[in-house]
Amino acid sequence: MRIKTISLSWFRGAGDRAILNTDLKNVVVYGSTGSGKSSFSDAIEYVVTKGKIIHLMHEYSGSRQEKGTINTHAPAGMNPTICITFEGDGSIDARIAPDGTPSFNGKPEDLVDAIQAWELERLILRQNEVAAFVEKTKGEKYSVLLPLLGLEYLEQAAENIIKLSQSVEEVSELQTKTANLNVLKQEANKYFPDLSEETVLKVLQSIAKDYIKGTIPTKLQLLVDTLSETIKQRADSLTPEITRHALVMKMDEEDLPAKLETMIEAEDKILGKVDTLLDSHIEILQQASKYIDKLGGDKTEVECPACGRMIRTDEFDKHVQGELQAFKDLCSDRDTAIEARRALRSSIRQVLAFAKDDSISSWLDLEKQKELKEALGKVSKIDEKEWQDTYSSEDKAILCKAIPVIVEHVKTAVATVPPSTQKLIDDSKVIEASKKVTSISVLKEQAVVTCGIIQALNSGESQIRNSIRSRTSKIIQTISSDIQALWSRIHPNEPIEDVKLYLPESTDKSIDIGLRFYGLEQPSPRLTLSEGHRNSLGLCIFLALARLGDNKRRPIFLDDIVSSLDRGHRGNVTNLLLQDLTDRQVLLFTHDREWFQELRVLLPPNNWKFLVLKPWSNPSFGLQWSVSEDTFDDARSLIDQSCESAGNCVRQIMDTSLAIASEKLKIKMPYARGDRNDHRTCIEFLESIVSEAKERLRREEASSWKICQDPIGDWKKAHDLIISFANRASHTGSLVPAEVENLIQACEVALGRFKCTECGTYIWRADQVSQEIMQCRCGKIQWRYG
Amino acid sequence: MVGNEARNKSESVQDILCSSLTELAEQNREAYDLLVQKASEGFFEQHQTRGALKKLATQLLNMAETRESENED
Repeated sequence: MRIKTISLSWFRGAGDRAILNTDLKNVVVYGSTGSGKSSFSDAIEYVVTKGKIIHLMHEYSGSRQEKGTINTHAPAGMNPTICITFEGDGSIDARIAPDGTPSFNGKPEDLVDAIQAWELERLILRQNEVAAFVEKTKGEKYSVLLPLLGLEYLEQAAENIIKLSQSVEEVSELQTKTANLNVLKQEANKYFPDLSEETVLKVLQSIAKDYIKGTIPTKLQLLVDTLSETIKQRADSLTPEITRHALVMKMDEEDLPAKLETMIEAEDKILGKVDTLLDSHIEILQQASKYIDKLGGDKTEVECPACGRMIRTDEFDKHVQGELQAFKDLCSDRDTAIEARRALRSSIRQVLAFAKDDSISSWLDLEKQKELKEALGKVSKIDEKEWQDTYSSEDKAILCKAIPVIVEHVKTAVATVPPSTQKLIDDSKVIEASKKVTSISVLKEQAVVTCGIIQALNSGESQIRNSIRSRTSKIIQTISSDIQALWSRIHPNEPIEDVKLYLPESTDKSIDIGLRFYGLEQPSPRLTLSEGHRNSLGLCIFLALARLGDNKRRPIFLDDIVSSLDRGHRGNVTNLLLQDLTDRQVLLFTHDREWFQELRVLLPPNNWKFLVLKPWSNPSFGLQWSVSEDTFDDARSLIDQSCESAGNCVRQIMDTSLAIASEKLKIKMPYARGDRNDHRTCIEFLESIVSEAKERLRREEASSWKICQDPIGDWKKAHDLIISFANRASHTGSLVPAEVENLIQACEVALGRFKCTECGTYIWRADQVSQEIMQCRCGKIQWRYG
Repeated sequence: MVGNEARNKSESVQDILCSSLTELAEQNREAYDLLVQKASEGFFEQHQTRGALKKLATQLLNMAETRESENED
């Protein structure tokens, strides 16, 4: 989808109205630094990203970037607008409200959605972004590339599925249930070693003989219920004395001393660890903060939190993992202490509840149980403090004194319990344990189902990740061959080869760039490549990605991308534009006048359009197009400041343009010593061109070829003015504005004379080698060079 | 075209899930069907909040509970 026009009004550097008209061709826009050329790439970015420009995302640009997107001198009440028209009469209008809120309208309506589906990373490449991708970490490269490879949806799916798996674990309370299951198993195992229904049935049937007259149920649940009820009735019918015996035995089984000891030990263990761990935790946090700072620069080393030495980040990671493990251990100890406290509190409550039974309370009133009653009273007071999560040290001291007294009296009482009561209590324990076996099977079943879902989800996530890896691998192989091909075009015969993207074996979610540097494999271009090479590599990767998949109908914006390349490599980029991007609309912006002049000559005018922006004057005028293709407006803009600078600017333009013209016309220049050949002046070129033109330049008139005199006169005039004015600009500094304006006009006309006045193409447009003739596209002007 | 792309993407995640959840399909058909249905709706390709994932987790577990109680009945 080729862009026809981009119209800006008070957007970024644009004034009332600035239109970039491509005529559906590729475009090269020249503008000196600050002329406003990037406003056009900003405009397309603004539309594609629904109102955001990445390089404006900072604290000063306003919440909706209104301080950056709106021309600072926009008249009050004027809403900035962007209008982009496309081939086939589609268009998008963007309007920016004074507070920066954007609105988009498309014709047809769905065009907005279609354009906003374009990926910015495959659309615009700016000078400051050229090497940025190369310098990203392998994880960042993965994040950037995955959406461009069309695989982000899989990454999202993998993330959702693993989070769903965690949610299943959380919602099902799997960990708590597993812990409960283990406790129940331990308790039930005392009576039923294999926890099977057959064993339970057998044991209960054996007990049932003493309680059930007649047929004993053969179904487990019925047997449990029947026995439970029978034993309860038997217990209820017991005399208070026997009830007391039973309760005293139960009090004894609560094993308060062991639980008190466990709790004290667990709490002491935590106290022993907490102090030292707190100090080291603070140290870790401080070092982690430094670590984050380090991420801005060198990512391979960081200062060790323990010893202060510089260590590798993976070693630092081990340190952090070690500290984390220490915290996990502490958490585990804390959980143990909480559990021990809970168990003690529960047992104390049980004992206190037993003590309230009539059979026990009357027994406690006896004189010989006075000590026990007092001990239970003290414990009861502690238990009343329900709001307390922990026992205070005073409480613990009371418990440590009271519990042994309780235990001593209870044990004395238990020793007097008759055997029949003992059996009743033991049998009731077996029944309780058999109920736990049923709970165990329910919990077990739930755990199996939950684990099944979790395992399935984890397996799904793993399969999706495998799929991402294998698909990424396939795609980056394709891109890699393209990157290598593009690289070879820009850097032919250089010992940096086999440039490729690859998936590092050791780390998940990462992509990096490998290459062979003078025969040696390198895992990263950052180890060996110069800034210029990294920029070239960034350009190759951008172009390879831009060409990937179904993007060929989208334009690409290249904004000042060759700044760090020398003339030779810039020429190779030009060839790339000529030969490798023929199917794409390219919008190229440059401040490099020399390259612009080369491009004007080398790129075919039927596919390429050349536009020049005037040097910036002020925000109210905004960016303005120059009528001259030869960049002489750069010189004109200097007249007010310094006529000498303007004159020198003219010389530079003429030096470059005439060097290119001479090369194209195959002008024979006298050989000079050393690098003098590379520093010829426009005066030398003009002299040779004029000399040869007298014989070689012809125009068709009335079906015959005649020497064409008009250009020769203009070239001579330019030559003479350069000698008198431009030389003075360089050497004596005594030019006046009228003289510079004359010089500019003469030079502009002289360069224009290399074009046919009828078809507007250069004389060297068509080179008919066999006849040793060059001519313009319509063939009215010829240059015979044989 | 965008719609077609989205559908192809959904099918792709669905395909992967179907092939990797075969064991679940045998053990817990309802949970399997729900996951596959969600995949076909493109649920997993889009960012999901913690709440949405928790809701689906609850649905998956409730299905298992319902099935257990039905079996008991």
